[in-house]
Amino acid sequence: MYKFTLFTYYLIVYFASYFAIVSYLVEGSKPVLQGTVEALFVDRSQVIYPGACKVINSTARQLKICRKDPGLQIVLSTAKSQAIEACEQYFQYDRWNCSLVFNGKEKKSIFNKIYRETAFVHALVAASLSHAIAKGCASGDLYRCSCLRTRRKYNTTQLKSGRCGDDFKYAKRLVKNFLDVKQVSSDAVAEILKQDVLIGIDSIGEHLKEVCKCHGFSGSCTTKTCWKRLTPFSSVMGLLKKHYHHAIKKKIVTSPAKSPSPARIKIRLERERNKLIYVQRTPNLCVSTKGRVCKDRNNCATLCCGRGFTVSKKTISKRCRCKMENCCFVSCDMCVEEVDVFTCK
Amino acid sequence: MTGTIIENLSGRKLAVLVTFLLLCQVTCFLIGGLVAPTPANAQNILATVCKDTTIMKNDTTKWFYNRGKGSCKTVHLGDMHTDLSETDVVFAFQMPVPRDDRILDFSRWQQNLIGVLQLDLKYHSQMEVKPRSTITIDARLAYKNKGDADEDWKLYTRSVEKRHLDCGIEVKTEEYLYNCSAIPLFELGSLHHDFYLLNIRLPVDTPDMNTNIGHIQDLWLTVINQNGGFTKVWLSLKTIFFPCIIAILAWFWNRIHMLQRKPVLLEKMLLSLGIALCFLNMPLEYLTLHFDLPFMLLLGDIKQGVFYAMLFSFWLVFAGEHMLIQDASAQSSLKQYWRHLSAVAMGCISLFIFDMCERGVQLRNPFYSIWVTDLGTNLALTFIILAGISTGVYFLFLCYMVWQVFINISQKRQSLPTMCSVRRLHYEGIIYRFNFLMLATLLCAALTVIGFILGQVAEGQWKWDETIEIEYASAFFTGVYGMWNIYIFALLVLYAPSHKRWPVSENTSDTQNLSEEIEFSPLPSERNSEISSLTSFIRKTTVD
Repeated sequence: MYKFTLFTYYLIVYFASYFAIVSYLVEGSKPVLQGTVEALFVDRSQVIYPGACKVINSTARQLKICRKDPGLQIVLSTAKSQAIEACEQYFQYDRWNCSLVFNGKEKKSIFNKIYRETAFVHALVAASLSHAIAKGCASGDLYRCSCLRTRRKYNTTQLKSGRCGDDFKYAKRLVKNFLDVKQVSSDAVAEILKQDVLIGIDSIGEHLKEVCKCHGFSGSCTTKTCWKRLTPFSSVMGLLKKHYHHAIKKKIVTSPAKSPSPARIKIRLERERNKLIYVQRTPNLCVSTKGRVCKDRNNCATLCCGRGFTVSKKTISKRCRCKMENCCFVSCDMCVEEVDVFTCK
Repeated sequence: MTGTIIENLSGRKLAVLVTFLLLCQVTCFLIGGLVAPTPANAQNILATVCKDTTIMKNDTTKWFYNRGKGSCKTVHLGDMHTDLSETDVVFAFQMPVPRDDRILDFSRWQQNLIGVLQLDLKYHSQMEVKPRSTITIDARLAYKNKGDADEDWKLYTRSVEKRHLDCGIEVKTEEYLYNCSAIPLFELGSLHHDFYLLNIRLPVDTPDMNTNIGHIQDLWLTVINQNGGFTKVWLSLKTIFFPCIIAILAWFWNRIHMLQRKPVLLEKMLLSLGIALCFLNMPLEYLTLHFDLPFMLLLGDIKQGVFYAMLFSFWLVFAGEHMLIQDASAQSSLKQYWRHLSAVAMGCISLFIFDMCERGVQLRNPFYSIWVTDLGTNLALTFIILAGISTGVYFLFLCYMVWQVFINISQKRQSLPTMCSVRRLHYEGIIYRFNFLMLATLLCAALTVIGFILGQVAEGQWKWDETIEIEYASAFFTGVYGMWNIYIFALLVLYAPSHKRWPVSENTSDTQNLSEEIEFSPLPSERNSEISSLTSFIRKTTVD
């Protein structure tokens, strides 16, 4: 079943690429969702690919989306660097330090199977994309953000009448569209990744803050307007990391006879709607934590897997006595400081 | 002798009238709920940080914007810039932002523009935001119209303003964000131009200026404007109500002039209430489609204030005129109510002064806010508290008077059995209808209050099923607006003098009734035969 759908998928992709003048297949063998997330997260080079999306090797469909809005390629590159930076920063002291391969072995890429980390990266990239798009709408970099009028009767001539506030809704729709979430829901793996992506998008939605302003009679609250405010991406990372720790392992029965139908998977996933799902247990990462720097004694206990750690004194120059200068810039002095450095044995 | 229409109207006709008015009311509510969009619309705009390389910083012909030809060079605030000073950094907000692949422009139907500034401040252990710190903003607003060149921005207004920063943080960790409350920045009473541009600088003219505002990560501006679709619906309602009320007012005044006597106080009050409503209904917004009228926000407040002042005074006089204990011979005048009315006047004047201090000054400087200085805050609070106290006192007065009226009516009711049956039935009917109108007033007031509270609690929209969506906020506005129009319409109709003669007092052979007639005749109310029969009845029984 899985193979069959993959086959039909190849067929579709084949024809799509046949008709498109410039078309690039994402990684050759993976569905759009998986391929795009992987391409955005793995590629750390500044290579500019041909086509309108620039940041990634995109499918014909994605190229079409990028061509429609020239601002999108900037947003994509923002989303990419934002996701990578945030991941590296927030997993600095974890066993998995946001590396692309496990234990430094080239063959063990986190994208080979669906590990806990793979699930997390999918959520992270989707969250970063929706955040960047919503921000792009607000700054005016994106031109095609829609007002998402709730009622159909407002046609384009009445554009100014509709509500135009919520950029996140548009971002959510565009990310789903870009990652082709609707199309991939044909097998178990795709279904799981789809859920991971949706959790990532919704984390942004959960972190929207409602702000209200009264502007009625004499400034009283007879008229009150509320809107949703986007919070910076770093504040969403906490929630995403929590999702990473609370992720659930699911078994996929591979033999064709027992393979559960997509409908049944859907039903089973329904119960764990708000959890990240992975399939493969992460290999033991303790092998690779040797020589890693940890934050404090508590952190070292977990990071060093009980092997213990060494404490060394080291003089480093560090930014200190920081202050705001000229309203908007941080200026700091450099101080030489002696600190304890914890290193795993 | 004649009375008002409500006393002579048959139950059936009254029922028809009430049903008709209720239907109008429901229509008003549904128009707001189904046709009109939300009353106001908010749009978030992220600041583009521009680099100002010019030497003359006070030049108001140089503008920074991020879309179109001649857009500015952007700066990333996260990077270190040693070559830039605070005067070189400009936060630009170009509004409106494009949507649906179109470059939008503001429409004059959108009426007004309110700007709210929000700061994303990062926590740094060495640069904490101190409590009660202020931010100084050099804000310049420019406008442009369709057909102008991309760089053709013209200065609208500029001002250097101070605002309080109200920020808190839960977990003091590096890179975490402060939770800052939104800062109201400007209010434009008229949205006359197509495009606006706000350029903000954060000057450091003195050493302590803008030093404790933390690390700015992003600056957001939320602009709120009235929805064009809502203005259209609102204006159509006004256009319908305005001639209706004028017509009924003319009819009412004509009826009074057909009488031989001079109009009594209650009728004068009704007339002025009708005029106040006309003032409120006047569809002046049509003018804003052609002229730049920044005073519309203020005028709207004044119009509403005048109307509510009149309505409150009317209720007082209405209750007072049915008090039953006043000197029957004296023609009542407003002077009798000066104590009660002073509460209304007090409340209105203090609200008016507050409004003039805030929105009045905003006519000159849209960035002005009274809440920034301590003196201003105290002043504003004083006036608001005064208005609140006056309202409280007023309602105490009103409740006391209404309570007295009900007590008097129930006392007089006890003397009803001594009258002849026909007359008694008639008087009972009058009391019933008086109560009915009191009930209507209470109902209207209660509905307004309940609607308001529901609006505060509920979200903007109510979904009944997939197809029907009620835009609650709009429905509340049109519903309440329609309700008070209909209420006053009903008052004008029902309290207009009636031409009908009383059948009971003319041709009856009942001897008991005859004796009542004789009893009635020496009363002043009988001589002045056109006074409201309710009051005449009440005065008669007082003499008893």
